[in-house]
Amino acid sequence: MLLRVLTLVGLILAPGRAQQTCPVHPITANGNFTETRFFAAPITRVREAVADSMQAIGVSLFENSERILSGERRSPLVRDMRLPPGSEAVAAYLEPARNDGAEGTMLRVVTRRPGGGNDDPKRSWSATVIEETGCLLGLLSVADPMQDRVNRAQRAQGPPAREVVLPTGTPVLLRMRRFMHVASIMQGKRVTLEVANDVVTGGDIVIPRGALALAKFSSVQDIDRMGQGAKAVLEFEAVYSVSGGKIPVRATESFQGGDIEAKRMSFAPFAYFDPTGRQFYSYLQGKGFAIRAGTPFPVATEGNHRIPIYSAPTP
Amino acid sequence: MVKCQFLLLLVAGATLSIAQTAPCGRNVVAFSGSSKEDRFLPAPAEHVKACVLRALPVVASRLSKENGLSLEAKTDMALWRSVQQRREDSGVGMWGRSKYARPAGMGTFYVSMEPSSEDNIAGTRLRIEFRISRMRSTAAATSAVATPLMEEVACLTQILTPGDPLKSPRGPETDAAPVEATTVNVPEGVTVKLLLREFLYSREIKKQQMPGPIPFEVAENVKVDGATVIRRGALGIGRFISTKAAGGRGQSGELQFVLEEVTAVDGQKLGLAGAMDRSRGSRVDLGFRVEQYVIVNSEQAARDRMAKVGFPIPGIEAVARAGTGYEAQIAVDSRVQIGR
Repeated sequence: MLLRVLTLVGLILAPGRAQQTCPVHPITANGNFTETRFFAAPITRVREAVADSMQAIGVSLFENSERILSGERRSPLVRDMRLPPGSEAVAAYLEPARNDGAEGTMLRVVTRRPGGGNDDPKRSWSATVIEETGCLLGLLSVADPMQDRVNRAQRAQGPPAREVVLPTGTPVLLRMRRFMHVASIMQGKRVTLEVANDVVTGGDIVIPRGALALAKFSSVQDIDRMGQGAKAVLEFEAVYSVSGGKIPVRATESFQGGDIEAKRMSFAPFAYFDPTGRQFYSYLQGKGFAIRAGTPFPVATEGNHRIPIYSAPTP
Repeated sequence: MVKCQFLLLLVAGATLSIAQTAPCGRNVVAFSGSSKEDRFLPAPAEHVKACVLRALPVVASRLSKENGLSLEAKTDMALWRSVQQRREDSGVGMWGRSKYARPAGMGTFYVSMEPSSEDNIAGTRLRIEFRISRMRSTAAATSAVATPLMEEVACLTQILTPGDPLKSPRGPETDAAPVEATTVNVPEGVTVKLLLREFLYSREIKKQQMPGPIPFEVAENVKVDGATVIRRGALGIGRFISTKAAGGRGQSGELQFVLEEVTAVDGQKLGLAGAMDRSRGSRVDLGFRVEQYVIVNSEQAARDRMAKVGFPIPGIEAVARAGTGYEAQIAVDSRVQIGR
């Protein structure tokens, strides 16, 4: 019991907890209006990373097709993530490409004025999207963890070379696989995560980096009347071992948008005399929240588990 | 106008990071282009017609007349409000500079189809014309609604199969060479992509009645060890968890459903896990918005058609577009018979 408590306290105090996600930013506008970069990853994965990056800088995606992603920076995301202002339109174009013999994807990101026209936009977000995309592609695995688990389970047939015991309370760091905004979640919704680092026991990798992890939103409340902020609780369920087996984990994470502050509320009557009404609305805005792709969550395994190992020990 | 924008800002949410995929990736329909469209679609006329009927609600219209391959559809006010609210919840329609900002006008669609061929490909010529009613539409509304309808129809004809999965749940037979009869193990966790077959609308789901199953179709073949175990076009079934029509005092409608099973090539039903969706008419019920209009500027409120002080206002109905894509996983290890 004491061991469990100490493990959980250790997890809470771990430096990774304070870390948001890709360490490239604070999200700010920078670079040219058009930026291009090659990524040595398949177009499907680059597309996911670009979509997550664009949303991480506050872009509401209006189009998310096979080769084009486009949208505009809009208040729900910009406000909920407390991002710098700007309502520019951002579009990303993807093409399969080859660079120095490596197959990959050429990404071109363009920032425009939201209404079109020839004038330059006030800010450029192109470089920010590209940097964030590069960071996410490095941080998260290219393979789909769901498919990876199926492949591992299929390979794990017949008698294993040996078995390793994974003790209860083993810390595992998980990362969010995709960007998520409170508007798109509901109670009971499944969330896909992946393991951030190899978990090694006795020289054997028992939970590989990139392995699938699942969690579920146990309660969700979106923004509501009178500026009430959004709330949700994410319950982590399981990670999957090197042989595709399920290992229950124990942890929960709460998310909360901003409510109206009481002191602000008390000033609200003065807003009646505000001719533009701007002040009044700012008093009553409740906030939602968003979870960026790559956000780390420390969890701990529950119960002792015998993990079948089919490969040779890691040197 | 500025004030109005702030009002919208107050209630604006987002349909942002959607786990489900909008048809052909168009999360928000831009009402831009033309009021007349004439295009050849490489699909049979009956399939195109079915897709037009599925796509009409996307441009806030309902069928009013049908004569063979000629259709007439009029703007439905409740649908228009749902469409507009979804755009506002995505952050569109607040600033007025974006190409997405202009709302659709109200009026009548005239749609005609005829079998045709182009470059030796059999298909259908589809003509769409939209005549706006300026009396009913706001000043900012556009008549360029034929283009988004045409694009939605073109998208649906591509992604949905012409057959009816309820009649052939295993999906259409392909021309591929027959394989030897064998059994394939389908492990738990295999991903199946499904598409919603029909448009869902909370207003049409009657109260006090258990709604029927929701038909889906498989978007692409599911292969295990190189063998197709679930065909494209096979039947998927979903079930409503909760449904609620919009209330008379600004309460939003709601649709919540879960995907339950899919039909494999041998006809057996495989259980699904992991896919559910909830659609609400509006993130924040409209009662709040009316309070804002009333408190801040009653003159502005009087000008706004939705804010009639003292009168009940209908909430926003929930909708789900036909062709919306979902990913679900096979729930338990299964054995599927393939070949003959």
